[in-house]
Amino acid sequence: MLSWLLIASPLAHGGRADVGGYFRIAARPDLQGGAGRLGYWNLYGRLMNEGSYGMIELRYDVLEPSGDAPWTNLHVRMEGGSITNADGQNGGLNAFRMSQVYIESGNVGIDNVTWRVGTLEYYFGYMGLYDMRPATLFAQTVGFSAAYRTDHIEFMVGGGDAGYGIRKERYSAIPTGGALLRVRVPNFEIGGGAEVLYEPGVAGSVNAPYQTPNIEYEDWVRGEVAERYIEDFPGLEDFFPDPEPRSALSWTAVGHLGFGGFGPLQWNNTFVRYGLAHPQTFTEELLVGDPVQIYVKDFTDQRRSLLIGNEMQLSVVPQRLDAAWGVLYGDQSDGDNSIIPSDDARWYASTVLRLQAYATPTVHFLAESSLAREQSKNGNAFREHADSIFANTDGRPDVRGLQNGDTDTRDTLQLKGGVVLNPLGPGIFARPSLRLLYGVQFSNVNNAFGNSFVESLEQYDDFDTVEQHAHHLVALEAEVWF
Amino acid sequence: MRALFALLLLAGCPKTVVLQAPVPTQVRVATVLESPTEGQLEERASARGAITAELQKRNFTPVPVEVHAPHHKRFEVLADGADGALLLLVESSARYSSQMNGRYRWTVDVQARLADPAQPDDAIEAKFTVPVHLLYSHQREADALVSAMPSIARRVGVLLDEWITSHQQ
Repeated sequence: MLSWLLIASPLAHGGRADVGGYFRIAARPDLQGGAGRLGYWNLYGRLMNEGSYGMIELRYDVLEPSGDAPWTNLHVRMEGGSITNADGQNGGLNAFRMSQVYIESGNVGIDNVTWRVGTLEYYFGYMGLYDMRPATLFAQTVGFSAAYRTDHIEFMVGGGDAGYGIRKERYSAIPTGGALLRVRVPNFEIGGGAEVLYEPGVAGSVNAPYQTPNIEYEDWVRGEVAERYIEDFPGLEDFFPDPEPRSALSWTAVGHLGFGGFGPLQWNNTFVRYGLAHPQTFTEELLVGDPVQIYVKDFTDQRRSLLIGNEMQLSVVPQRLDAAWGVLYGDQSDGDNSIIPSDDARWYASTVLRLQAYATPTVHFLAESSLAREQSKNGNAFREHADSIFANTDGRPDVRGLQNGDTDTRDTLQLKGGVVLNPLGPGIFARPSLRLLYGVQFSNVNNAFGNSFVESLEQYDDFDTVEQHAHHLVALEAEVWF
Repeated sequence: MRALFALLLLAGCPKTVVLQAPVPTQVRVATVLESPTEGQLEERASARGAITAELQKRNFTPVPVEVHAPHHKRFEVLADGADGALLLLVESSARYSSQMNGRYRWTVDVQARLADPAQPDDAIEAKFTVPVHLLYSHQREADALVSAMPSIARRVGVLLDEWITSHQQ
């Protein structure tokens, strides 16, 4: 990947190339049967809950900015979550993707306006404790944008196509449009934006939105639509209902408020995102041995999500002790689904506090704690005990049950601490960072981390089960931006 | 625990012997921040602290000088009234690059020049680029310079060492 980037040398094109990027790598030997992450995901804080990652971005200046003169540059970014010997994919390039390619031009036609063609992803800010960007727009869009930027105002309109971003190899055009505005004055910033995605029905296209008529939601989630049809209409497999055309609409609205620069508060960011997810196209079942597509637009078009996040950075004792405190709340609802637990029907809340004390400018001590609750809206979703594999509907054994385990709530407490070496000096988010950490997680859920314990009744017969609610890890890790 | 204690002790120890100017020497220091599109900008006073420290620990006495002039006139302005003092001009140009997975990537191009006004042909110079990754969108050129300053000060220290070495012979 690096050699590919170096081909674009400044000498080759008479312009100027700049390569930046980000890498993190960790060794976390897990002696409790886990995969080297303290918990399931970064709701409990990113620290020790994320794996290795690599990213390289090339910026090539075709025309460098200079005064009011036109300028233009190319950005190419490759990234992925695998590094040799540090994860299951062992650094394979199939874990990487070309995530951003765009060309920007400024001062062409209108001063202070930047034209952009390519990938359009834009975010209002970042929650470093969670590694989340809640207020993001155009994440799946390739297209065109125009941004007017001054020191105090940023206004952008954009549009394009999210068809490949959402449907991938089952492409169907999804025209997208949106706009955002942010206003800055000293110590204060406010902004917001929205995007709308519309997928029209296209006669004859198998990838366009459709709904297979006369089928039940429960049969679909069980994967029994074809089976039910044959039961009802034996011998009539050639007359399985044709899908009916639909169109699909989804949207996202985001907001941001930032302030700081007074007292111990360095900065506080609040983000809000509310949106309607784009519906699925189809799933496949076997109808008397032959694959049949079950189109499900009507079953998946009421998935709404709300995400609210707040993160502040505090200088508690200047040059001696800094703190970062984050709060996250998410609420996801699925108007089509009231019968099976899923990630689209739950709420969660979390708080993370990190303290970093500076023994010297380059040797620091870190302590972090997080407390989180996740609750399913459609019944049990979690297993509390080693024998919970038998528990289903309302915690009872039920081979036809759609629930999972014996509780609808997962509570998680994590405590982490250790030594940090920061060659560039103090700062919670200063990088590079070399860390030796110990972390422990307590959860009401059994083995609440990525693991290779038994998951099915067949495995239960062959392997012992383990009940453990505490998970300990020691981590040696490094992180760098360059 | 012993290893941790040893680590802390080592962290507090000086890593190298710092070269010293043979006699206390005044250095007129100017740092200039500009943007490729907006020209010269105001910088934060705190940005100069690291360079001041590099000078002081080498037996130099920094004399801060404000320079507001076009690029080709800056050294001339700094030299005006030098009266035997050395001249150190650190020019930096900060430029926003892109949103990069949560951070705001900037590059700071730096040209640092150290000269004795009596021997302008012996000036020593360094040109380099420091990438910085700011956390917030409201942070601009002055923040980028503050963030880049540990690396800039390190390179200025190398310039000072070169000057000391060349004047010890």
